[in-house]
Amino acid sequence: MTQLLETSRQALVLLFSGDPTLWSIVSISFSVSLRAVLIATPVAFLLAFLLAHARFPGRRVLISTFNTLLALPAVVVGLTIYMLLSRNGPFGDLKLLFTQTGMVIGQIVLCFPLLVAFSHATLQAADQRAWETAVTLGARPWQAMLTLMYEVRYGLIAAVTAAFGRIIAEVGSSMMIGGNILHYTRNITTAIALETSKGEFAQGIALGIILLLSALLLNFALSFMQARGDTTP
Amino acid sequence: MSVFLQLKHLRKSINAGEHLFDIDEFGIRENTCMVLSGGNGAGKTTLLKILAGLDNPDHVDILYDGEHLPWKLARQKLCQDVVYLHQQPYMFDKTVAENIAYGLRRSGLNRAQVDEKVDQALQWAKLSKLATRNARQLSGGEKQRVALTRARVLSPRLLLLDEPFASMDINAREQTIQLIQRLKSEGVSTIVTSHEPHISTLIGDEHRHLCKTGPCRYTVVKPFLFQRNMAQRPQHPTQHKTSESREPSAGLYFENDAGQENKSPVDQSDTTMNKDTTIPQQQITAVILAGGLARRMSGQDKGLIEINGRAMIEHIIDALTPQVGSILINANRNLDQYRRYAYPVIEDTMGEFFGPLVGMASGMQATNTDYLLTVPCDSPFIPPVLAEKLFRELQDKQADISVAHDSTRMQPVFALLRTGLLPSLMTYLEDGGRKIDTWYAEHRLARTDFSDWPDAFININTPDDKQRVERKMAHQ
Repeated sequence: MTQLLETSRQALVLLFSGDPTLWSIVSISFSVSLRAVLIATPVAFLLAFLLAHARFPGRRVLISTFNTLLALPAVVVGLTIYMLLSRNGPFGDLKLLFTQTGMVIGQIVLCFPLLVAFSHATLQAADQRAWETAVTLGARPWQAMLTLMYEVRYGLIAAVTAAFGRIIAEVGSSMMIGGNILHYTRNITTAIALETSKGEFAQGIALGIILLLSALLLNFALSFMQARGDTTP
Repeated sequence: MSVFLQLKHLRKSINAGEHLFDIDEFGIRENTCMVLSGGNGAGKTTLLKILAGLDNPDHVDILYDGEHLPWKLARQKLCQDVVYLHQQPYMFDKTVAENIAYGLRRSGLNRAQVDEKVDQALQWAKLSKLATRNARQLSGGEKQRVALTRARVLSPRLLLLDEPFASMDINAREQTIQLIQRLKSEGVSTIVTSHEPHISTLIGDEHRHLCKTGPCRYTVVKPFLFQRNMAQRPQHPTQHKTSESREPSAGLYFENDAGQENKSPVDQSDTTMNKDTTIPQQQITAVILAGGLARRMSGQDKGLIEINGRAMIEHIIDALTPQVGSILINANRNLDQYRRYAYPVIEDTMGEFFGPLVGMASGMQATNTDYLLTVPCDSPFIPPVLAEKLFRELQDKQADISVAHDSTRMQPVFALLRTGLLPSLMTYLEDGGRKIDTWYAEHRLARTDFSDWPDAFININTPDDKQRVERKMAHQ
């Protein structure tokens, strides 16, 4: 018990003393996950819009597929991409294994289905009149699409928030694709795993606190967005 | 006012093979307000959405400004030139001013121009006070005004209003009607859908009706459009104020709204009419019902059967001419032969051979007069006092329908009806009703005794009848 208290005290010291190693790990985590979300979101929104409002063969199959992929385990993504990017794999020549770009790819794959499924549900439920009103007032189809997305923006932001929450906290794919290289591909979750296995809990707890705090913040933001989305008819 | 948009052979089905509507021809004039009525599910909204380019028809031939356009091209034009307003208008989650600016921002104008136009429009619609409010927080009537203004700033050629009065109180309705009138003065054509027929007397220049046809409502129905001739309405060069459209002739129904207990449409000419004066002959149109199948005459067209060398219809026309202002012939076959008599020949506007009620409805649509006199085509001994007696009884009893009675039974096809009954009749027919007695029973009926005219109701159903009638006629 005294040991737990002692390590917690050390963790707080680490947090507030501005330990450069700790903050480099935190910044890598956020930079990789933000890049992944930024790249995945526009494509996911467009696809979700098409799934919600266009009629083409295979639409229902696609929707079911993305709903299923919501439960995709991070380690399976890590394993698959590891094999694709490894020296002998089909994309080995790109030399992306154990790089941040590799980690971004893994996290894109992880958050894409979630983005599509959530924003599809939002766009599907959007008021059809919004689209018709925009078109009849002279908006081109893509302008009308942006208008429709603006009208349901709270739901879409909630989807992005949920997607970010998922990939900032995943460990499987980052560990396998990134390789946990200090100052380069070591992020919060892989660092916690490593420090714990070494028996050095202080840094792990400090990182865990950051992760928890950001998760808390994201969830507050999420419920706030959902509340806004609900109250605007 | 010329037709700028014409649709032909417009077909739309809901499911495969199940027609929603099938419209032969539908034209929209410049600077005109059209009221489109029709029951629930008749396809009013779908028709409007097709006109706005928001929905695709199964088939249509479009003439736009006299130019044939394939649907894809026409659709683009319609999206640009036509604005559709939902029954409950959608407000973007923005301020009122931004809502009004929505279309302008996408029309290539610069920011200053847009702001100026929006300011003007806000003043026009008396919305300036609400400019910075979120449009979603407005009341229903205010939303409607924002939606109208948002459409108007784009100067569309055609504005489509889907049931704009459905959920409005009197004030909001009044304001909306005023805005529509003003739009017309700016050269915008409008189509207003409504299930209340009397709206047309308030705002419409023409009235069209999307209705079902078919022997009863359980068969596959094929709705179509008819046009009510509104030509008798006084045409004002500009109609800014609604008060102008409340003149007696146009306000037939409005007067009832104003709280008259009397349910029948009462025209001013009635109230000023003195019993002792002659009947308003010019206000009576006779329709000769020759649209039947004549099954017992082996399908022979009864109106054309010759009696003593002249077609039966000629005897009838002779008897009617001194009694009424104009004569119509309702027929569905041998149209060319009927046209020889130089009277307008009208076909049933709905279905075929549905019986005398459809003939009456067709007659009411085709006429501008206040009264319709109906007679069958197979009773050659029309009394010379038919119209007069029926009319006097109608006046005495303050009835809507005056029907002949021959001491033993009613003769429902010898009747004088107020043409204001058309909406009621159309509703009845659309609901699948075909029985003349049932429909009559819904209205105030005056029975006019014709027992002193025993020959009046002799009709010809068999070849024997014909010989008897010929002999009788020879005696006279």
